[in-house]
Amino acid sequence: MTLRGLRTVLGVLLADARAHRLQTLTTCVGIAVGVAVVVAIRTSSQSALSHFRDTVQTFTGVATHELHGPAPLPAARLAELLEAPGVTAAHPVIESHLVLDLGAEGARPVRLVGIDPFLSAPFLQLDDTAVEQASAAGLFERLMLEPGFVLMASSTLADAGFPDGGVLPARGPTGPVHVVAAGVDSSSLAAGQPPVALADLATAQELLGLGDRVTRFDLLVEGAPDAIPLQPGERLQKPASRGERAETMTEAFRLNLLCLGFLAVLVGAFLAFNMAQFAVVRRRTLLGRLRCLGADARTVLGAALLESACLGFVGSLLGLGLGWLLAREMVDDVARTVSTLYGYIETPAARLDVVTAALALGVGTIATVAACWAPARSAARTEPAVVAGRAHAPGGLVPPWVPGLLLAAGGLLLAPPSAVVLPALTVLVWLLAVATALPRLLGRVVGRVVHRPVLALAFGRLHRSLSRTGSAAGALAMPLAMTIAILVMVGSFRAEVMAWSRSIFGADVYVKPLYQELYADTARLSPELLDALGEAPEVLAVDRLRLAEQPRGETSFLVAGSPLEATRMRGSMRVLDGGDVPTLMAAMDRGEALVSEPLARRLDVGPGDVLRLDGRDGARDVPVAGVFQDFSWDRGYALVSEPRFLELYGDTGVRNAALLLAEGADAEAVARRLSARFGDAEFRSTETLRGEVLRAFNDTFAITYVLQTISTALALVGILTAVLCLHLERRAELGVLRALGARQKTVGELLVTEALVLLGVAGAVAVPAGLALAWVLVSVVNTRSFGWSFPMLVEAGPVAGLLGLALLAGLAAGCVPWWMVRRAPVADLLEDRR
Amino acid sequence: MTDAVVAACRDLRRVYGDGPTAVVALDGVDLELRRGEVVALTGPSGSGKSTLLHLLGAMDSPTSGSVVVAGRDLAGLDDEAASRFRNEHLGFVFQFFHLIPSLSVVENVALPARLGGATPAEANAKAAALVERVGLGGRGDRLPDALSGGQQQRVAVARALVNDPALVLADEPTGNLDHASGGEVMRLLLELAQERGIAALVATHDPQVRDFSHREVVLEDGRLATPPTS
Repeated sequence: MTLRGLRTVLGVLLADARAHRLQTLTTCVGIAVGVAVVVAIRTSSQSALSHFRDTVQTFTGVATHELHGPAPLPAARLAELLEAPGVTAAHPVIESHLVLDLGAEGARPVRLVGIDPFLSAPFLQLDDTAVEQASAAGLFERLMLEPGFVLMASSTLADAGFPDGGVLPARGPTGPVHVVAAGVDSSSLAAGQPPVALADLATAQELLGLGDRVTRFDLLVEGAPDAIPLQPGERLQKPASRGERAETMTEAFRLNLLCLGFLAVLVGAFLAFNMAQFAVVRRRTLLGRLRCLGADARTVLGAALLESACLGFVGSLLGLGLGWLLAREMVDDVARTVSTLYGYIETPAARLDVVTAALALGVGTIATVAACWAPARSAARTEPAVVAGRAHAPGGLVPPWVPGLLLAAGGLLLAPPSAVVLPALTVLVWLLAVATALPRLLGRVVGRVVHRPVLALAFGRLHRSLSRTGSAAGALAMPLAMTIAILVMVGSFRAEVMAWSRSIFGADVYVKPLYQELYADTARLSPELLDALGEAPEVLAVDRLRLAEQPRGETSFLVAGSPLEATRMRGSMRVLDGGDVPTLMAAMDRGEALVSEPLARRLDVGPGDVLRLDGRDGARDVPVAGVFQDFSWDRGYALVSEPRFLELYGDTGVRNAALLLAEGADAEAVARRLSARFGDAEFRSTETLRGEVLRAFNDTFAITYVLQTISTALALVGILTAVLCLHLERRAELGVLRALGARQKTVGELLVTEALVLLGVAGAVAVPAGLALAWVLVSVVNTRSFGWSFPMLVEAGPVAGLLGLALLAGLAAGCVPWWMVRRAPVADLLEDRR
Repeated sequence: MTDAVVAACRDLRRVYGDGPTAVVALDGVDLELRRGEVVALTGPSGSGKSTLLHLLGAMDSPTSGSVVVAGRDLAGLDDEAASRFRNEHLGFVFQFFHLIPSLSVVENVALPARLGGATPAEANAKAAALVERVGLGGRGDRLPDALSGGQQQRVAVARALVNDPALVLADEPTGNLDHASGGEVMRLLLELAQERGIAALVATHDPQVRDFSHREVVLEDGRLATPPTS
């Protein structure tokens, strides 16, 4: 093999690829789609998380640690902190949001950061020019003295259309307020979204209704912070850890989607494999001529692999662009998830980073080369004699032990009980096993030949081309199995979420503070509102929900306190362990706790165990009475009675409330009436809330629908290429049949039968394989990554619909070569002229 | 056309393409083939041999002139009729045998009969007898790959005869065989043609085919270089 020879053969193959644009494009698109899914998932989640991290870290400045409490902390705590060993400086910080009312232009959130200008000086990293500008204009004095005064970046004010120095109406967690916004040229104030409004601590407290409380303290600590005395429920963390925590928490979510993304790459690679097989058959004479002219087998192999690398690279580049476009659509959903779970962020721009781009190009190109390895070897083994029509392009079966080995390897990957990535890999490995097992399976099926000329011929032709048809059936079974798995997994999950939403939303109307997502740390329902709701004529009972964050190692979980009136009256709770609802309610009344399934799995606790909770009076061991199913928070939470919560954490305020209405009351109408009466809270009926849950579910799994569509499309292309491949290889045979008197109809029957047999075998393997994959996704990946368990539900309708679609595709796939044969003169078919 | 004439071409012309790039493959060919007669069709490559076989085999239509085989003018046959005609009245033997590799010897021979509507039992019985006749008795269940080239071509000859055709068209039947095997195949074809009263037109470059033919016609640049009958 010489370099010049390699370049020459590669040039010939690429020219041939250019001449057959549709096939080349199909290969590239298959890879592109797989790569696009990976890029979209990675880019959207990275963008949202990096945005969250940037937002979190803006204004943490040089602080080494942050002190957070289960609720806003008293500002007086500062004095104790400054005296703590190792603390060289500390300052109180308020960080929350305000919603500016822009009239006809709607509402715009701003991030309100409240600081003490004197104490905060060592911490803040404001630009020098901004400080000079603010000092010269007397803005720092106004910051400290003028009620409602905030400093913002001039660029932000201009971009958002806020008048510099103007009075803006706004809404805080306690109701309407006014701010006066002045602009300075500051890049640090302009950083992050939503835009930052810097306020004096007292101003921020007033705007947010915090009294003398702050949301955290930033500390400069020398050495280890172990000696800092912490109050019960307080936690000390590094500034970056809030972002890291969100990343850890969303890791499982991202991993699931990424696994599906890599599955899409695998399916794309199988399509590339199919197309490469197709190309080998189509190029039989071309390859023979090259071999006749002196190209040795290694040169042909090298050139074929280089060609596949070129196609893979082009496909990956396409996928990069497509993925970026897809990410722009997806980033909004991911940002919403992060906002819901970890704190409000605005939708960031999707930013494609170098690592993602390199990963996409690498994965796409390598997957294509790997997929084309076997066809390239087949091309290299082409004998020069094929030019004279005296030899066929060689094929090859996968050694019989390979599928078994892959199955066993996949099984082993399931063995480690806590692994999340490995079971996902099992899915990939088992799919490969299915694909490699198919050639032999197909051989056994076609061995039982039915004695009818057309069927006998169809089975015989399939059997003869086993190396090709088997792998084609494998390539077809892959996307089918994957689609079935996704259909079943999402269907099971959806059914369970629907059932759960019926049980968890046992009340009729749900109440939360306005803009709660913005004021997660501070927003509370006022006692006056709760009293008024309790006295409303249509309201039977009010379920108050109180929440406290409980640090546990590097992460945390929530403790919720509620009277659970709805659960008591309507029995609405899905208990997994610990007895029936009345038993558990009685246990809660005795001070025991219930834990949600994700928390039970995370902490490995169940009925009979104790849960250590750090309350305001120190650590308390609370017995666990039962485990219940809940999809609200993937971190999981513990549920205690309201008196027990107040005893542990004191009155930290009511986050949400649920109203039980008198029998026959129209919840929607009541929600509307209450919304009109109480402007500071949002009222939603159970039906509305269920709709939102379903919408959130669909948003989260939107990418799986994309994957499902892709898989179906690839399956359809797969069957078409498989049948075309077979047709091209045995075209002369059809000529013989026609010469011997076979009618067009007979040839059509033969080709459609072949397509349907191929499809039947692929389907017969894809259905059980898909169900097995669904089981892995449902019972292993989801349980281990989310902590959610739900039974696998196989809905016959969607699976039958998919198989029906595949059947139609099979018929179409048989008709395409038939149409080609119909157009070709018998003499051309006989001499294999095309 | 007398009863003895199985196939006749009159002023046959076939032109591929049009305008300045048009290629005249056959130009005014007149030819008659009689029952039991084996005719060698020779001529250099590109002289029009295959075109003539395709026109006689109802696989192509002439630009002008007529083709009559077994008393039927092939002009105007639609695909359905042409297929049925080939099945009932014509047999084909190809250079590369073109047996269906997934079918056994008997199944290959029986295939035209089954395509014509015969039951498997009828077709297989007829095929088995023919397989015996071509000297491959006992090998009926084998796949074509298990046979030598000469044996495969004998299977192809048997297949060409299974529906008792009026005319067998053979395209270089010895082209892929050694001299001895080629001779055996031609001897068999000659015997069977005479035995069954079948006409055979054998396109060939192989000089020994002349020894097994009743006469030779030569095509040069699409025209017959010898008289249409001897």
